[in-house]
Amino acid sequence: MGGDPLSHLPHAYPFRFVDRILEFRPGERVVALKNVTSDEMFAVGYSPDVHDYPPRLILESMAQTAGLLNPADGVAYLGQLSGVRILRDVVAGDRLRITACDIACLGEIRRVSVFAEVDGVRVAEAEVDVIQRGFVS
Amino acid sequence: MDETKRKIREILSVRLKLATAVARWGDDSPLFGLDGLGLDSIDALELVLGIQKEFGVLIEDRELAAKVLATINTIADFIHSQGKG
Repeated sequence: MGGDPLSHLPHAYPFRFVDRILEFRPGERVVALKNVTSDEMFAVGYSPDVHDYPPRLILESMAQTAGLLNPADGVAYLGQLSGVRILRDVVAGDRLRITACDIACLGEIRRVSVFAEVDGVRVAEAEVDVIQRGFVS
Repeated sequence: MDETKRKIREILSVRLKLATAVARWGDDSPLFGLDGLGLDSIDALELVLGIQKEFGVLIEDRELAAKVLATINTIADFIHSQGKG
């Protein structure tokens, strides 16, 4: 897997929820950054008066980061989320730092432990199963 | 061996939430496939992690997993072949 790791994400604006890769060790650990801003699509209509980053998008940022852990070429698809905990609000202006660590891999399925932090405080955690080819067989 | 099989059944019941089906499942009955318990590849990973946690036995590749995870008996045999269980 060469070049820009983010190029392996199939998602593009406005549905890419990872801005930058801070650490990239395929198959082991990926650390990514998402800068939450008030002019993103989530801010339109979600909650006009409160610039919260929706928890489902925190999870999307985490799932996209988990997908980057897979060292094989090709797209990784979301297979399962478990142990999801949303611990704090995330708002516009926050820098969401997401850490994804490999737990186990069997064939095309990889289980990844992912947590997200803002200013060193954990805001969400989950286990994410990613599938290399997109189908649970 | 019976204790090993009991623990395997517990993994299937608790981690894979299959208590009702496992209670009437034979030790030699297939876990996967059309005649099996309806397990998929995510269930296989869950089962591998359960076996690793309970017995300290690693199943690291898909080919080995396909053989080992065939039935409760094949899982128990593999665990014992690794000196565990």
